[in-house]
Amino acid sequence: MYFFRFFCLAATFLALSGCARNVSEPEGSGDAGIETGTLPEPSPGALPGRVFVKFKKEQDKESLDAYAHIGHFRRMYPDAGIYEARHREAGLHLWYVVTFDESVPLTKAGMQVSELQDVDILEYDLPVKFHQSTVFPFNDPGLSRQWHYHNDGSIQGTIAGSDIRLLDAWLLETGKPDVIVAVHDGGIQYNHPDLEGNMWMNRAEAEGAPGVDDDKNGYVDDIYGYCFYSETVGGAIHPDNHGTHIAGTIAACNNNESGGAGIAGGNGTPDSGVRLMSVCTSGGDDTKGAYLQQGFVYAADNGAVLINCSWSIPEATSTPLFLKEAIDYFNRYAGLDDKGKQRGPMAGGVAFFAAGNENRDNKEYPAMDDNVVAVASIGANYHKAYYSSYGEWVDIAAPGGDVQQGHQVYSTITGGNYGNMQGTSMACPHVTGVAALAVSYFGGPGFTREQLIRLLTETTNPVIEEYNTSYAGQLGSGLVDASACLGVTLDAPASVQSLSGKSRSNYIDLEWIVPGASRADIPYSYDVYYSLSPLNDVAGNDVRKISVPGGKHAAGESMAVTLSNLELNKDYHIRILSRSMLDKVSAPSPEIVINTLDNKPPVVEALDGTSITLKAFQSGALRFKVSDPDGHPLTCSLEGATAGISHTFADGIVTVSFDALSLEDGKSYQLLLRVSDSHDSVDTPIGCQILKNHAPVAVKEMDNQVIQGIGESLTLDLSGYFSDEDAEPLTYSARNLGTQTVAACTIEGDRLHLKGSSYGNSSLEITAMDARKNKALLTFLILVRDGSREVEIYPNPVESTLYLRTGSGQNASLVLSNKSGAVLFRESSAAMGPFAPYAIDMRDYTAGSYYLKVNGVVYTVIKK
Amino acid sequence: MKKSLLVCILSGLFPLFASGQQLPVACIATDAVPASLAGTSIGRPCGASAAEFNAAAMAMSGYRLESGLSYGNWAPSSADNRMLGVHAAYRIAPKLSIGLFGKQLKDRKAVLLTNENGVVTEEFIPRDMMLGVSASYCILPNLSVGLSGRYASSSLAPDNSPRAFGVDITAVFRKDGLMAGIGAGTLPSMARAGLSYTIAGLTAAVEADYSFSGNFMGAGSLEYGFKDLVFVRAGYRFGSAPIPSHLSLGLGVRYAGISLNAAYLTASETLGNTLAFGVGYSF
Repeated sequence: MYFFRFFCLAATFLALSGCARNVSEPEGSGDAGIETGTLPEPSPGALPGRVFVKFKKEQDKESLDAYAHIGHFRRMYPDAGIYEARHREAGLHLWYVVTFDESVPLTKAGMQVSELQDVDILEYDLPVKFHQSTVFPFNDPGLSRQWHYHNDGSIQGTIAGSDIRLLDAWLLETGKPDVIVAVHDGGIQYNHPDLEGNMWMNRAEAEGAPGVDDDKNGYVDDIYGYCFYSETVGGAIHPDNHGTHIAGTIAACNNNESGGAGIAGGNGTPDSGVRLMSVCTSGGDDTKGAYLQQGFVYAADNGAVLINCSWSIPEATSTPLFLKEAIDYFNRYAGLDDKGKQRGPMAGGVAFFAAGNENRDNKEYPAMDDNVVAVASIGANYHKAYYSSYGEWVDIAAPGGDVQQGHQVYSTITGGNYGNMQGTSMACPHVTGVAALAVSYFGGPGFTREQLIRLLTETTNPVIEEYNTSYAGQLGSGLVDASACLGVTLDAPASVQSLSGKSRSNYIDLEWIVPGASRADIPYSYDVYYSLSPLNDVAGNDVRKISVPGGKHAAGESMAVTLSNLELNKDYHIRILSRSMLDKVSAPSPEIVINTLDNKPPVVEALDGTSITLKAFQSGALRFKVSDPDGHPLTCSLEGATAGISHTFADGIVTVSFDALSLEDGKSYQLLLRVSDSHDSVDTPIGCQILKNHAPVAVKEMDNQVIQGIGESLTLDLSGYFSDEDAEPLTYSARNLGTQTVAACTIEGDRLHLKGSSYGNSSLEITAMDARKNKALLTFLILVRDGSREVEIYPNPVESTLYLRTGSGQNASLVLSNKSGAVLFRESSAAMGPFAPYAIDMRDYTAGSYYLKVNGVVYTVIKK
Repeated sequence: MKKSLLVCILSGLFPLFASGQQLPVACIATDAVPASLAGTSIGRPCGASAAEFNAAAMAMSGYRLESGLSYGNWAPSSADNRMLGVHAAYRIAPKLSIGLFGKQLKDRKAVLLTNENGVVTEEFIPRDMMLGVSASYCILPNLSVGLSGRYASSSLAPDNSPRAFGVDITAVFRKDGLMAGIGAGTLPSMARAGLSYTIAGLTAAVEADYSFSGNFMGAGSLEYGFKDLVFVRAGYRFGSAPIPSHLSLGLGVRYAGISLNAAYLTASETLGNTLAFGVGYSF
């Protein structure tokens, strides 16, 4: 018995275990999904947003559309044309790429895809690592840390390309010693092992006597530069980390197996690398000032053509004039000798200023001035550094480090050491360094500061705009690009071959196609020459020229410009020359001859007629639509205008306005509207008549008013009392003529509102006035009384005269008796009213109580 | 000698008379008996009110004591005053009597006091009051004289309360049923003369009053007393001031020395419907 039960139990367990389902096997026809346990886990480096799937059979469009809720499916290998057959033989047509939102976890997406029908293989995309490392041209061990020169994205958090593209630029230029760059900052450690080889040296002072101004430049012992620190002007340079770091970025010695590299630090040979001049303006104590302005003049007079200024004047709202003039001096005279001739690689100097680290768009002077190049800072991921100031005044951006992202700028510091720093102070020398390369590469007779600035700002990498959309237009023209800067062609651009024109009056509308077989050939700008004589020589006396910027037009696009202020009915000879960024000009285009036409006079159309009649209080206007068939700009004048008559001209409409109040009534005015273009005028007579004004008059007397209590009110329509023949709206005012104010008086339009404020009576004067200040007056009496009493008897006690007053005019019977009943006064019909009280003379009555019966109602009167 | 003395006293009092006050309260009879007799009092017996109106008649009274208390509504259609009076006369010696009286008239309704603009400033109830003492002496069996001193005060307004003092001299001759009297005083400022004759319980009286302000009044009255128990009275006064013309009617009863009297005035624009009630005691 027990064994039977055990057997049944065991059989039950076995049956249940045999009935286990493979839960990963979906129901339905056909193979579906990947077998349980074969769904791969994405590896740590798997790229988000896509998986690769191989189906067991080719998928039709209908099926793929049904999978749209998972992602977008496309064939990994699209139709290969003549090779499609072998693609299919290899099974390549079965591979699909599935893309989806990167926020969806790969495991989830993978699970969804794996559950589809006919899925054979599911794999994740993986990054690849190129085994070949970046080839640096120099052996400086720290160069690989200087992502700001070359960023391959290998450092976590960086984006490849967020750099100044220096390696390609070095293929062309590494810096020449005739380019002197002043570092206007803390002092440079001039004997730093990685800087001493590129320090500028004043030979005369170095070889002269200490304490003597050997070169007679006004400064003593200025061997590597000069100290302009206010507390110790002159004397030794005070090296500090800030100035030394900046100097290293610009021109640390390259290829010396030491430290890092400098942008224009040469290639390791003795005659390579620009030279650094230390314009020391700091003694290490930020609370002390310096003669900043003298540093600029010193640098210009001693051969520097570039000057790096990684500082600003705290909270300044403008640059002091003494400093502005010094910077202007540097801009104008750097690179020139005392005769004004170019002696250095560039005529004129360029000052580079850090934009500031306040993350704001104001109070960053002198960087905000137009006479300097302002540099903003980005990090290693193209994003604006969190601290960098910004604004439309910024000219260019450069890497300056971003410690919040973990990346700073690596360069020299004092003590012969190297260190990391961040700031627009570090971004600025990147641009100065690239400028030093550009001057080294392009510099020479005729190379100007304008060309340098153009080279820097017109060759920038605009990619940072995509990463800084909220700072659009506020990080300069883009990220400094050393390679593109040096890649600007030295050749003349392509010349224009397709110049054409059409005239309208004395305008000529020119049009041409942008020439150029390659990007380097596209002109930077165009010089349009035109003359009444044949243009065999564009430098002739009667030849006029206009310059047209090339803008961002690509080759083959159309450009246009209009020549104006030409003579009528003349043949103009026109040619156009292309100009490169470095002012290389092409051969002139073929000459075209365009004949200007006659002038068509302006057209004047009176929209409201040419005359107007106004009443003495009115204003009005006449409008004229004016146009010029030739498109000439028009001017308008109004002759005969006086005060009260004016005109405006906007959007092709001349409006002549008349204000009758400012004009004499009963008079007519004759005017002349003259509309002129540059050659002709059209006169239109205009008439204006102002009718005679009529003063307002009072048409009836105003009734005296009674207000039956304090707080009670009444309203009068004043329009019924005054009239104006001109139908002019009148303004009203009220004036209290009495000694007390018994009612509050307000006027709204032509309604007078009275509200009792105290008992008593007064008189009001109402004035009606027209726009020309003519008046009519009416007065009336106003009484505020206690409306609850039929008869007011006052004063009581009485000394002499007793008054009886009612709210409305009436007659009453009066009987006055004393206490003993003797009738002392009787009146059968005493007339009384609010403004004409009845008076009883009680002067001769003895003191005592009296009883006045008014229409049968007895009032007690006390006689004093 | 006595005549000379009388002339001197009258001469000395004349200036006083000339400057006397014509206070209406002084002219009003609050006692129901003289009120019902049109105010005739100088030439006829007038009970306890003799202390006020005819001091000389006190010595002629047959009662040792006469007293009375009265209450009424004076001139309801004009002054509308509540009046109250008390009179008493007492013979302290065979020929000498003294008396005292007092009366008050008070407005029943408050007066609205107003300022120069007619604005009511407050309410007030005016009142008038008079007090007096009298003395009378029979200088001859048929002739008596009386002297009364009186004080009047009015409260007209919160800051207005005039006062006055006055005297009144009367003389009365009586023989059989005839009685004649004269008097003059300063409060009221008036001279009076009257005459009455009594027969079989019926007393007819006439009186002429001259106010020193220039007004003349005259009055006549009749009183019939049945067995000295019930009295019917009537009178008529004519004139304009101080008391205007009116008709007076009255009734009275007397028993065991206690009397009840009532008076009603009519036929007057201002005094009509005046009512007075009095209770008296005499022995």
